[in-house]
Amino acid sequence: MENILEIKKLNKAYPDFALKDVSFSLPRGFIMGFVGENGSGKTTTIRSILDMAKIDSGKISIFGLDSVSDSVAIKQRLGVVFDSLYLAEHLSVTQIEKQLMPFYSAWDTKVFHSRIRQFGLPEDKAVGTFSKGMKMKLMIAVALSHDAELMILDEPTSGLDPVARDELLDILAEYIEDEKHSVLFSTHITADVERVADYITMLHGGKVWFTGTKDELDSKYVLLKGAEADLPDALRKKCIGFHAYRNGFETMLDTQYLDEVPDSLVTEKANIDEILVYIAKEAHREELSESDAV
Amino acid sequence: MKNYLNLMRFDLITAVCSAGNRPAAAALLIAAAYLILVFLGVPLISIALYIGGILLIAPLQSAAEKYNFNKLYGILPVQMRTVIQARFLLIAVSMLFCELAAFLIGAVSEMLHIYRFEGDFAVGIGSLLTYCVMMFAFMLAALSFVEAAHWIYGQANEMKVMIYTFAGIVAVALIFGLLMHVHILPSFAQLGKLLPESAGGKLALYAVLHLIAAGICAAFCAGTVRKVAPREL
Repeated sequence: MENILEIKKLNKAYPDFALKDVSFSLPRGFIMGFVGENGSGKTTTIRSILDMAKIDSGKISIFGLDSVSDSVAIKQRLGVVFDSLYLAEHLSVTQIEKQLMPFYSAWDTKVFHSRIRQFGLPEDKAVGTFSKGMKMKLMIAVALSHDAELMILDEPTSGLDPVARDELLDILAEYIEDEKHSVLFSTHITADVERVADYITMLHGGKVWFTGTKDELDSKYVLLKGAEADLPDALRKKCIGFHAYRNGFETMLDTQYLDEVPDSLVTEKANIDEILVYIAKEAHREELSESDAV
Repeated sequence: MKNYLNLMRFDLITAVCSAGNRPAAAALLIAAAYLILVFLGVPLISIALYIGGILLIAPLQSAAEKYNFNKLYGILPVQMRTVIQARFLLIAVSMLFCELAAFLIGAVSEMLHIYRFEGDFAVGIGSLLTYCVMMFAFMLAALSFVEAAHWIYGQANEMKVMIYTFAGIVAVALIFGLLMHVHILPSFAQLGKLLPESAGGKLALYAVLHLIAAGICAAFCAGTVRKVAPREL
């Protein structure tokens, strides 16, 4: 399977935050949900892919090209949707097309206008008057009009109403139908990922916690519940994020340790939200124990 | 080269177009008032056309800041240095256009003026051309400085930089004025006599002024590219 995007050991440090050895790949023809809490490094990773952030080390390949030395050639084949428009909002859709069209060798005016009509966007109104959902659709129309092979969306669904979110996800699902296109979209709305993503990469504190197919993630972790006294010490050390209640505990466990779980404890399937919450708890616990050690 | 033209076109659409027709009506009114002043008043007023250059660059800088074009530049298949160079090129080309248009409009007005009031056409045109070239050199250098300050310091700090620079220029002018007053330096009248009077000399002066202005613009452009292009977007 050909990878449309490959990131290997990406490191990027800022004074208060760092990406540490971020590695993942996205095969052609699939949607990857890029999830993590706010500040986990999703946007920094996307900015690194787009060569907007200068990476300290590591390698990013898109279409087999280097993200730094081949950035102009890559961007001819890339569609990007940020959470804001970043276009002159006093202009109309037609005027924006006139601005952007000459930059792309594969621009197709017919496709652009048919998408604009399909998305129900007025062509003569200032785009600043558009709702957030309409602005997202405009950027997607731009990406589709130059036949972008990979679409990267940074938090596209945050701030959208449920109907607009649903429409956007349908557009993405249709986009990859021909198995030639791929989508990487970052979000903290995990319901969107559950609905359309084939692959998931989970980021926390600048590190990749999980990357793989959605099915692999579904079978990787379980929630473990029961009385604290029934939890063996050896197993407790393998738990990810531990939460004790007055009448028991709740934690997350890698399924490779399932055979060590006593019958008295209950296991349940963990959804993406729960996995993110327990990863955050575990990271918090590790930070506390590190500071205690110091 | 294609990307320079694409970016200049991009900037022109940003600065000139809007989704409605209101600014077009305002521009027509301003153009009509300008032509009436030039043709019924003084031909030299034609050099006011250079203000058009400011009216082109100011909204462009404002839109770039307001809509965070830096992010857009990160998406488009162009390098940051090309974006900056294209902006300086647009300023130079627009100033050149202003110079040519101001001279042509002024020359036609001068012809009508002389027809009405009599006078020496060659002297009038020569003087108009000198003012047009000097105005071109001044405006290109000044706008290049403003553009560089905008890229390097951002709109928030750009005004502060310009106030300090203006204060510096005023201070230097005062010192020069004082030195002229006490006859340590020659006065402007004496300096004026140093200007060449022959046609060849004047043409050489115009060429030198154009080269100096272009050099200043290129230097500000190179400095801006060096400072801004390595930045993260």
